[in-house]
Amino acid sequence: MGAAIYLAVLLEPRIRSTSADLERQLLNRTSKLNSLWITSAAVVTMVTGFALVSTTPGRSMSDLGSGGWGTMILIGLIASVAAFLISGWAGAFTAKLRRGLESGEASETELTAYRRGLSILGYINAVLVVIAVSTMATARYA
Amino acid sequence: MDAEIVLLRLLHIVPGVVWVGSAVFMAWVMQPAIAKTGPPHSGAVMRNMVNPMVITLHASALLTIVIGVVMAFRVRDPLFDFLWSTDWGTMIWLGALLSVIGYAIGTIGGISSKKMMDIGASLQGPPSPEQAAEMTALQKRGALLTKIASAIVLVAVACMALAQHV
Repeated sequence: MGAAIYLAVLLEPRIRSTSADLERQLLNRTSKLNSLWITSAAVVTMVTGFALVSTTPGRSMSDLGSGGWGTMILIGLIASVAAFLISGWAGAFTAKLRRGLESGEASETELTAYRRGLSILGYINAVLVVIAVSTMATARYA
Repeated sequence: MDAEIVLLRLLHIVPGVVWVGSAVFMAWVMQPAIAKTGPPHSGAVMRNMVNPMVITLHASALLTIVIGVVMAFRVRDPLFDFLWSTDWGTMIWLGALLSVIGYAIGTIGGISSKKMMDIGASLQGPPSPEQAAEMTALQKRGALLTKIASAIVLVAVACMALAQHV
């Protein structure tokens, strides 16, 4: 989550406000690593989350969606899966942007569209992971 | 629903996740990648990012620590009896201590990086061998301290997360 917010709110807008050459170099250096890092962290978090739900005493997967705790956990789960999918979608935009900058074949309009898409998806992703963490963190008290 | 506890948990956990996630990502993914691009790119990115990054990291860290202390007093009364005499308390004070140490080390690392950027910004042309050596040393020290700080705050998170179950 921290990495997603860091990328969406801090890093990407700052990189975009520099130069296209710098953006290209940084995307080459970081985009695959970022995707790998965020995907791995998300997968580990979700898999262990499922394991935790089924091993928590007095709770099971059938509780999802019922009662305060189950509803909050289900909302968190849906938000985290949605964030994960959106993160993958953003990764596709990053790859298009990187290829466009590298080949020099993409028009400025296309590059702008990729940047805008990446920015919007990054912010949506950040909001979704905040929702996921917030609902999970407060589920016990719901 | 205990609204006060819910609010405290949100104000502790969400900034905590932002702080630790950002610190780990910056130390182990971004900083090495930016360093590999080398000057002038690394300097340009860091100069552009330093203010929002510093604000985000300090604000989230301080909020996490302060609200954590408030929450500890709220959930256990009298707190100090529980801190020294229970496993929960041991994990909580250990986590709190590690988070403060991690924050301090991260801040020192940030100061090293800031000094390096200041030298870079003051240059009129290519750096002299002494300046280049100093910048390299500062960059290495900043990167190392950031990595140590991120590892320490990860251990702090583990202590806090496991406190209820030991």
